[in-house]
Amino acid sequence: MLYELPPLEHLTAYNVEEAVRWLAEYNPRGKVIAGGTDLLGLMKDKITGPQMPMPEVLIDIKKIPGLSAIQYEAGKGLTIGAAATLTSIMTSSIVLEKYPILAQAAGQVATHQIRNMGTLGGNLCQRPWCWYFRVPQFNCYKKGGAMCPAITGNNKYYFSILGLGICVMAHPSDTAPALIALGASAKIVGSDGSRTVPIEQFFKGPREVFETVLKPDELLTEIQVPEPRRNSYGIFLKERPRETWDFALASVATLLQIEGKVCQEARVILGGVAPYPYRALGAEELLRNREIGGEAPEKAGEAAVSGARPLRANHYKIRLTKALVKRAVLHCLDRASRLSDGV
Amino acid sequence: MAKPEPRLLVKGKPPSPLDRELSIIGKEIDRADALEKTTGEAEYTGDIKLPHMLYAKCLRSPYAHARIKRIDPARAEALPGVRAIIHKDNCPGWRTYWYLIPQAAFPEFVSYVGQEVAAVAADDLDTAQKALELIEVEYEPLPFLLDADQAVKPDAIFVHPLDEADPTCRRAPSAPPVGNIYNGAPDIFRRGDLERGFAEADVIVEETYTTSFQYHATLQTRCAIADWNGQVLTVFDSGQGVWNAKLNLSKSLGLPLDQVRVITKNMGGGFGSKAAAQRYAHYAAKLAMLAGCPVRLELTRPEEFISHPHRFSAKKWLKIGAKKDGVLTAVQGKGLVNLGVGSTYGNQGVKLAEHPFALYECPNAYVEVYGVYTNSQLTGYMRSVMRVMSNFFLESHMERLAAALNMDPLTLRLRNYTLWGDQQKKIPYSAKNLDRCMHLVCEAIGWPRRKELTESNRRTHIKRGIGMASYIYDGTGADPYDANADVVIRNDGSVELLAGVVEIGGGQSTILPMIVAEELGVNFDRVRINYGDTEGTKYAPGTHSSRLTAEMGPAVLQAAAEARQKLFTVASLMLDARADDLRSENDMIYVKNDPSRRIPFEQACEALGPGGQVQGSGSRAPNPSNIVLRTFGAQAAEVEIDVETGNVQVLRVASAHELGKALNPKLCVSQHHSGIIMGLGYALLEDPAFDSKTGSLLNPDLHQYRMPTSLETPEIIAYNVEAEDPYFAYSAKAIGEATMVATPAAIRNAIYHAAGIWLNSLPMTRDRVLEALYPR
Repeated sequence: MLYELPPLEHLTAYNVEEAVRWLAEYNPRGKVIAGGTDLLGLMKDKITGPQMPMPEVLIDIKKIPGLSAIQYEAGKGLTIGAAATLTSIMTSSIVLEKYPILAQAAGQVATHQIRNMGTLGGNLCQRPWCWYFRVPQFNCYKKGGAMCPAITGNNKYYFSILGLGICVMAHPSDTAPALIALGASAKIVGSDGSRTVPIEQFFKGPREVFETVLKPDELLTEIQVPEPRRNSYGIFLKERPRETWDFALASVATLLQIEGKVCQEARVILGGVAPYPYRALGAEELLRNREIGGEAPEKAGEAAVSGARPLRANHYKIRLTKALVKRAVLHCLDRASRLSDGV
Repeated sequence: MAKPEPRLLVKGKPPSPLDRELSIIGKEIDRADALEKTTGEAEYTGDIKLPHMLYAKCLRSPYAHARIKRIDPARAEALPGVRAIIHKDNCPGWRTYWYLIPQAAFPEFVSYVGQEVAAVAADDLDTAQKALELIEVEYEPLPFLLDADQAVKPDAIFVHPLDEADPTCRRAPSAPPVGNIYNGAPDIFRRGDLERGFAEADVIVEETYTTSFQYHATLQTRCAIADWNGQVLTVFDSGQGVWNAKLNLSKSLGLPLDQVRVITKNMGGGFGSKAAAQRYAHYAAKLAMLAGCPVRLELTRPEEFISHPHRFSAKKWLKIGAKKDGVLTAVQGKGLVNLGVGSTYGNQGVKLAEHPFALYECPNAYVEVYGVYTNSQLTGYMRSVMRVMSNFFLESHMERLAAALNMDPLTLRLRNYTLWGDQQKKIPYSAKNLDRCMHLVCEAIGWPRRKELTESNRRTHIKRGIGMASYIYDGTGADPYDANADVVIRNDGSVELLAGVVEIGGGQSTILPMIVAEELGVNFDRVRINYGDTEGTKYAPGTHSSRLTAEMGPAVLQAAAEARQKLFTVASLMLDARADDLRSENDMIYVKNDPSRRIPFEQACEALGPGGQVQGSGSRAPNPSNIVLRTFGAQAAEVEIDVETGNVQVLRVASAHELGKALNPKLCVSQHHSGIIMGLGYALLEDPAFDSKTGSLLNPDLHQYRMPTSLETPEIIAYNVEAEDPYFAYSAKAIGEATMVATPAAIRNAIYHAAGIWLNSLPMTRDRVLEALYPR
């Protein structure tokens, strides 16, 4: 409940190596800042705990050349710098043309103002929006506390029905489900060199304090998205309490490769219903290598939420998720029947 | 035909109505403060910086209920830059006031999360913040209750300390449940014979409805800057009433009234939450007097949510009986109000009861309302405080009755229409045109389309529906009926209105000068208003309860008319006519029967001589008891609901409000808009969430406490329904608060029409919609 930011040092990095060096040097007091739309709010609200010391050094990566770039190379695919703003992604002509579900997802994040400031890297690395995490007096598991107060507490909105663990927050990212559906990977640079991790494996499970595989001295530098599959049709759908400035109660990124009437490949990734972007393997299985008319969309919806264990106040998310998956599959089928070569 | 007696509610003889067409009242004059507010020029309290000003912060209780065993500020006091600290041990017995209600400033028992435990003034905010962390407090945590349902149980614990001096702590000393009930007993309203009424009924429906708390979430967070110069305490406040604040501060600090000055020039929203001086201003004042420097205390957004009084929540069981033709035979209601830890007088039972008791004609009615204390923060006034809940209960239930009778809901409402303000004593309303309001909104929304919609809804999962609700609202003044104004005409032709009111953002500082300009017959630009300052003004009510127009209107009119007649006396010599035969309009004073005999207004003023001026004064008289004064209205909504996802969208709302007279119609229309948006938020989105284990509010922010944005705002069709009401200035009563009363019920009834589900709890969030659509 601070008015203003606590005293801090602001360092501008001009290359990745510098940023990584500082991350190692100032760990655990150093934090990466790009858009700052999440980090600065956490600091002003004084969200701290044993696993969340108040940052004292902010390492600005916005000035690193190329880190905001969106580049496409035919045959290779798309590369998006981690500091590219969500607005630049949702308005990029190549993203709109080749990867529309990513543009749709980026365009549904938060508000105009936040999309203008907020970055793709930030959207993937944002912290939970569970209110037990965001209200300072609760020492929740993610801050270093012993347990998650949401399990027995008020768990109506940003909470999970699938993949529950020690923490039951629902992962808030809109772009993550879309990127996983597109088979994207994250390039991570650390003191010991760089590595590439599929986005699907970028997120850790609900038994870990931190949501991503990033180590304290590592920087997410870019997202690589492979060339889209031929004849693939997709959509990102998001339901939220309010039409803007809200995270998903449930979202789905669906990408189906449809040849003739047969679905060759299927990706159904859920957001807002699990502590990590949730790949609905059951639904994918049901759609893959099938002719998918008739009851398939409905069945896919049911398969997507099979195994759901709702909390006291979020049972409604089961029906909501089912409806979204069904709608997304129907949308893809409809597009496939009307277009010959997909998007 | 004899002229009707003027009945304007003023002390002394009411002035005669202007014997000419109105030339300013009813015009859409731009708000006087529009330009400075839209350009950011306007200075709000938070913008003010005084030399040597200190910054204050409050230490707040982390417990919902606890005894403070020990408080030790020694380490904080030792911090360089800390200038003053106040807490229970160094301010024993000190009380702050709200509407002259004495409340312990720093009680030994804290009874909600966020209650103030100490306040610190320091050279800067950072130091003040650090000092808070250095104050050692030892609490003895006590059990607490958040729900009224729990607090009325026989085995409930006491939630609140008994404070003999504080009527908001008017808990009975006996054991719970009585002990947690305001006054130890319900408010009861009755007429006729309930049993007979139900025996005569062909159809009886009963149901329980609930509503939630609602937060005002004003754009401006509360801020007070207090400056004590050894003679006068000046407080730049952000409250809705400077005079109330002055009285409260004077009493709390033991200063004579002439040593307290309160100024609130511009306000960033109030909606009832800033209806009188609150503790923050008292703390700032006390700290300023101790430190000898000006002190600024500004709340953060989370502090706003946890420390300002929010709307009560309520629950009501209703049972209504009717004949086959829809005529009501019996109305019974039992209400339970969650008072939190209180803050204002009583449980507002009258307001919660009025809708079921008075909106429709019914010979047999019985309503009881229990106010129950809990540990869920302070509660208090908010736009249409109890009426919006009361309306949701009754108008939802009337829809249910219409369905049970298989009757058109509009027809049912019109069938039970009444013109009696008191059905038992047969006292009429001074004016009531609610039927006109209902017809207007139903026509605007396309009520006859309901049948085709029902038909077309069968073919799609996106279903449309139309619903309505009508309402009763006061907005005609309230105790203590003390409203005063002065009008001064100076020899340079300038006119000043002195009115100790606050411009809350509704246009008060525009409409009151319009009354003066109209009465004097001068151009609007000639009238300057001195407002928002206790210096130079007399007592005036706070700008809340939609009372300003109804209370200040007659006083301002009387003051202007008296000043005018004094000037006419001077002008009569110049025009060689009797003062009574003079009229004025467009800056000219003329003889009524020969308008060619005229002089400019300024010329008459000049004749007052150097240093000369005339002054008129006006004061409001109490409302009469032989007539019931109210305002009325109706709203109709069209919604769209996606029955697969449960998403509800409000497409259009038509709103008609009978306000007597729209002094400035476009300002009234903007009230329709704001009321509907606020009502929509209460209906669908705003969902205060508490953690039951700690009593903490989980969404003290503008993100997860969701207020509607422009994307949720429907098309709004607004009607200002005018009708003569001689008790008020040009008949003008109220509009501001009333415009949200019927919005939740109208939306709820439209959802029923669209999807056939009864939603009996506010807010109608996704979980409730989906669970009603697909019961488990």
